[in-house]
Formats: sequence, C-alpha cells, structure tokens
Amino acid sequence: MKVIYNTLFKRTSTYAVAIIASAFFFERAIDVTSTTLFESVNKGVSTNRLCKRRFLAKY
Amino acid sequence: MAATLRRFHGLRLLKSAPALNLQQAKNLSSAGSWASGNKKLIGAVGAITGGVGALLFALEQSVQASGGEVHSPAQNWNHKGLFDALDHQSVRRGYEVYKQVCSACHSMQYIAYRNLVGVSHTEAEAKAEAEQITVRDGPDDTGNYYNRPGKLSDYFPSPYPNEEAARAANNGAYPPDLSYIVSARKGGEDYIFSLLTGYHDAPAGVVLREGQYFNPYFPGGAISMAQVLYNEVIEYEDGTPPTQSQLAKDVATFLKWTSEPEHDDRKQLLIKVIGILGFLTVISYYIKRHKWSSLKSRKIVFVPKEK
Repeated sequence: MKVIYNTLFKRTSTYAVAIIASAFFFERAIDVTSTTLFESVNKGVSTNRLCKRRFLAKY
Repeated sequence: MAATLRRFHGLRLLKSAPALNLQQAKNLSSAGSWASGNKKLIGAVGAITGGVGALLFALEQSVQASGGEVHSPAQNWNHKGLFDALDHQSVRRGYEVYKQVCSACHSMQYIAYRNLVGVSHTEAEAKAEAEQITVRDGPDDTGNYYNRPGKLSDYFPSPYPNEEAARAANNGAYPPDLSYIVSARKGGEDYIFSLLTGYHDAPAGVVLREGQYFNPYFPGGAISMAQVLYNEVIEYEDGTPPTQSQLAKDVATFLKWTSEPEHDDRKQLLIKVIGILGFLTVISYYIKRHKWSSLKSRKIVFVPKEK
C-alpha cells in the first residue's frame, strides 16, 4: 500500500497519469468482459461482429 | 456475497468494536430537529404519493377488465431474457415476410435500407434490396423530377401516397405504419403474433360489417385486415418451412427490431452497468467502513471536575 501511495498517489502528476492509465485498462476490461459474456449467452443467434460475418456469409 | 463479506471481516478490514452505535446514529439524523408540522407535511406527501399510485394501478386494472378482447399470451421469444439478443436470422426472415406480405398495405416510413446493414443483411445485399424500388427524385439540372432506383439512404416505400388514399383503398380503415408498432401496442410482439394467428369465424351474436373480419385479440373484435398469413404463403430463401406460426413469429421479431433497433446494444450495456456498479458498490462499502471507523470506535468519557 505504502509503495503504491509513495510512487503513484503522492504527486498530482503521477496521480493523474495513474487515473488515466487505470481508466483505460478498466474500460477495456469491462468492454471485453461484457462482449464475451453477451456472446456466450447468445451463441447461435449471431449478434456479435464475428458471428454476424459468419452468418451473413451463408447467404 | 456473504462469504466475501465474512472474508473481509475475517481479515479485520477496518474492523471496529460496536460502541454506542444506536445513540450515535440517532445523533447524526437531522429528523430530530423537525417541527411537528414538518413531520405531518412529509407524512401527508408520502401518503398522497402512495394513494395516487394505488389509484392509478386500480384504474389501469379496471380498464383492462372492461375490454372484451382476449389478452395475448406471453410467448417464449428468443429475446425474452434479460441478456438475450434478437435472433437475427429470424429478423431477416421477418423482413422477407414484411416485404412480400405486409408491405402491400402497411408503410414503414421510418426504416431505411441502410438500417438493415449489419443487422440482417450485408451492405451489398441491402443495396440490392434498395435497387428493387423506384424513388421519385429531383429536381435535376433542368428542373424536372425523375425516377431512379433506390439507394441505401432511401426509406422503405409506402404503398399509398397519403392516409386518405390508404383509407379509400381499405374500406375506410387506415393500415397503421409498422415502424414502431411493437412499442405502440399493448402486449408488443406477443400481440402481433396472436393477432396474426388468431383469426376465427365470428361467434354467434357478433355482427360484422362488409369487409370486416373477426379476431378476438383485436379490441372490439372486428378488424378490417383479412387474415394474410397462411401456411406456405411465401417461401423463405433459407429453406425454413413457412408455416403460419413461423411466419408470424419471424415478422413479429422483425417488427420488434424496427421498434427497438437498439435492443441488442441495450442488453449488452446492462452487463456493463452491472459490472461497473458492482465495482462501485465494493468501493462505496470500503469507503463507508473507512469513514465510519473513527465514529464507531471513539469513546466519549465524562470526567468530572476535581474539586
């Protein structure tokens, strides 16, 4: 905890960088997880981009 | 969740001894300083709000009970669940049904061919669909109007130029625009399905005028639209057997999509919201414990003055 505080949170400059960087990774993680979950729930009805391409390629 | 909480407590995360919790919580409330008039006012507002809600509910129930129509049963739609997407192959078949059957009388003026791209058709297929219609465009360089084949940006063509023409051609009844029909009718896609498959001979005592048909799901029972969906009335290009219920199910799914084009994105967003709010709940819980730790563990001691 102390190491994180001293290296990242103590100075405003590093704190801002930490916020922006963690926001990026958090957003990616939420995005990827939700897409994966949604696709696994809806397997076969082809909603995601990959499935859709496969489904539309049939025609 | 409980196991997680216990684990937190087991780790003694910001654990505090419960000391005088109740008295301190009472001291933090601002309701103690309210005048009795204030309390009565707030009580009255609460009672009125609850009463109005109950009245609205009762009125809604009585309106439902006063109608003579049959309420459409809930079908087991592919998109019924909280996280379930529309069946896009069904949407595509439903478009075929709309195009070959419904569009003879019903317009769909808020849906353009570009909306089909990536939903039920590829871009090339949607372009081919659009090119089948003729659109009046203009004026050109010489000021004349001209006809051209449709483009992706064109909206679905309407069968009649205006409402009066539609009424004149349909015995005075106006075939409603189908763009948002699922959202516009009580029962949504269940109602569409029941209506399309629910035609009957009129029972004894029901008088139908010229050009009217009996459908128990239609308010009043007398509908000016004849039954249009029969087994094998069209042929699907993917070879699905075109039974009446299959046709009705597909076109209802298609109309669900036209009414709620954001359907799939909305349901995926729900997963995201649950993830983010779950994360925020954990943080809020931690911060609450953090802020209250000093309040809950402090002790106020009365030390009498030494004389």
